[in-house]
Amino acid sequence: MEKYIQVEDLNIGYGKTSIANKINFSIPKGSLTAIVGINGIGKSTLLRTLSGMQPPLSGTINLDGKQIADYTSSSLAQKQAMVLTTPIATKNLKVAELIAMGRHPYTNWLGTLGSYDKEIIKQQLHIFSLEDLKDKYCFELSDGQMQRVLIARAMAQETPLVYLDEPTTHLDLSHKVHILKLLHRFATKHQRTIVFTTHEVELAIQLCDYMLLLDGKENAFAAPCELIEKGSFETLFPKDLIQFDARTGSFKITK
Amino acid sequence: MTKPSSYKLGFIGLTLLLLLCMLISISLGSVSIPLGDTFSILLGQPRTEMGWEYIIWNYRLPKTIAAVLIGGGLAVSGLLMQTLFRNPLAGPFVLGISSGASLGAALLLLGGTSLGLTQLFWLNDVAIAIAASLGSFLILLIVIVVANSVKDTMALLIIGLMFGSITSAVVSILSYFSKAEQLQRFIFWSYGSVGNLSWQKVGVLALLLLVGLTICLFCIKSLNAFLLGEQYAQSMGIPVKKTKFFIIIATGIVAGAITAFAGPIAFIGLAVPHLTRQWFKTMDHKILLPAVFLYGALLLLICDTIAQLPTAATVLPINAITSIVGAPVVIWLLVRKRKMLF
Repeated sequence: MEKYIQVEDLNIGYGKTSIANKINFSIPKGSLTAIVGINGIGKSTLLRTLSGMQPPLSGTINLDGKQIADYTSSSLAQKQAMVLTTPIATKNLKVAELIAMGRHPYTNWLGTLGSYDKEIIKQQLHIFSLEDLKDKYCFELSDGQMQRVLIARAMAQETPLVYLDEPTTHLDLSHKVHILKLLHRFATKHQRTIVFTTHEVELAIQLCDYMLLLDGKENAFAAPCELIEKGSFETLFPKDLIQFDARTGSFKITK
Repeated sequence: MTKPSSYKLGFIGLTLLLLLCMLISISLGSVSIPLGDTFSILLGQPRTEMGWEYIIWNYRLPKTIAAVLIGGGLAVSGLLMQTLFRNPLAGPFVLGISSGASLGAALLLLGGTSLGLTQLFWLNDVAIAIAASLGSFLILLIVIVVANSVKDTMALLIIGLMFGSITSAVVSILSYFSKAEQLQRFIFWSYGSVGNLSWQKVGVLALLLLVGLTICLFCIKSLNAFLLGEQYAQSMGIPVKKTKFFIIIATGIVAGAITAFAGPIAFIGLAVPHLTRQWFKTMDHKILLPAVFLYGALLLLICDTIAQLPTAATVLPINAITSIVGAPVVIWLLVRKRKMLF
C-alpha cells in the first residue's frame, strides 16, 4: 500500500531537551492510526512535530513524498487539517461560521464562500448531525457537540490527512465511541488518513488500523492485533498498577 | 448566520446617524449656525451672514472630519488589538503606543525647557505631533523587536504594559522638574483634542489612516482565523508571524498618528469593538472592520458635541467625556446582556 506519512528516526522535543526519540513508522493512505502512551510521554509534542508546527530535533518526516519542512504553510493547509486540545480563542462564533473557517485555504483574500464551499459545509453539518445546531453559538454547546463541530471544521478543510489531539477527552463513553466511529468512517469511506492521540487504548484496539505505542523505549508501531501478539501493551503502563489481558484486549487493575 | 440584509440595515442606520451627527457637530460651536444654513453652505450655496461660510469651511468641517477619522481609527485599532491578543481588555494603547507618544510630547514640552529650548518655535503643534509620533514609533519598534523573541502573545501584552509604566515614570520625573506653564501645556495635550487641526494636518492624518486601514483590509481573512487561536490559524495556512507583524504595524500607524495629532484619547478603542459586536452580533471582520470604524466615528462625534455643550466659550477635555459617556454605556450593555460577547 502507498505510504502517505513516513517517519524515520525522529527525535522530538524543545530546544535541546529531547522528549521522545527513535520514533519510526509509516502510515498508508486511508487508515486510522492512534498514538497512545502515558501522560507526558510526548504525544502532543509528536503531533505538533508531525504537523510541522515545531521542528524535530533530528530525523525526517516525509508527507506524500516530500519533506514536511519543504511545504509552504498554505500548501500544507491543503494537505493536513488539525483538531487541537487548546480551546478555540473565542466561542462567540456560530457553529456554521466555525465550520466555514475550514474552507480558508481555498477561499479568496476576503474569505468569500463559493457554492462548492457551502455544499461542503452542508455535507459536514449532515455527517456530524449538526444541522439543528448550525445557528447556535459555540458557547451554547456541550463538550461533545463542541468536539463534533471542531472535527467537522477540520473535515471541511478537505485534506487527505487529519491530525487530532485527544479528540475524545472529557466525553462520556457513548460520545467517545461516536467520535471514534466517525473517524473510522472517514478513513474507510472517504480515504482520509487520520492520526489521533488518545488515552482510550481499549477502544483504539477495536477500531484502529494501526497504533503507535509511545513508551520512550521501543515506540512500537503495528496493527493492534500484532501488538497484542508481541505483548507490547503489557509494558505500556506500570505492571504493579495495571495488567493487560491479551485474550479480551482490555486492561485489568492489578489487585 | 444572520442574514446579510440585517447587516445592510445596520450599515445604513449607522451611516445615516453618522451623517446627522456630522451635521450637528458642524452647526455647533462658539458661533451657533442653524442646521438648515449649515446644510446649504455645505451644498455650496453662498451665504454672507457674518462669515459663516468661512467658519464652516475652515474650522468646523476639518474638525468634524478629524473627529470621524480619529474615532474610527481608534476603534479599528482597538478591534485589531483585541483580536490579536484575544483579550477583550486590549485597546489601541496596549503596545505602549500612547505612552510612547506621551514620552515624546513630554520630552519636548517638559524636557525641552530644562535644555534651554524655550523658543516658541520648538513648542508649536507640529513639533508636538512629530515628537509624539517619534516617541510612539520608538516604543513600537522596541516592542516589535521584543515580539520577535517572545512567542507568547500574552507576554507581549504585559511587555507593552511595562513599557507603559516605564514611560509614565519618566514623564512623572520630567513633570516634577518642570515649570508650571510647561506642565499645563503638557496636561492640555494629554486631555486630547479633536479641534485645532488645519486642513493640512487632517490631510496628513487621513493619508496615514488610509495606509493603516489598507493593511487591515488585507488582514481580514487572517484576523478571522485568529479568532480560533494562533495554532489553528497556522493550520489553516495563515502566515501567523507575518500577519502579526502587519497588524502591529497597522495599529502603530493608525493609533500613533492619531495620538500625535489629537493626544491620547481614551476609551473609544476599548469600548467600540464591544458595542459593535453587541449591535451586529458577529465576529466576522469583514463586517466588523467597517462597522467599528463607523461606530467609533459616531461615538467620538457625539462625545465632542457633548464637550461643547456647557457654555459656548469653553470646550471640556474630550478624554473626560469619552470615559464619562462611554463607560456607563458599556457597563449597562454588559449588565443587560449578562454576557461579554467576545
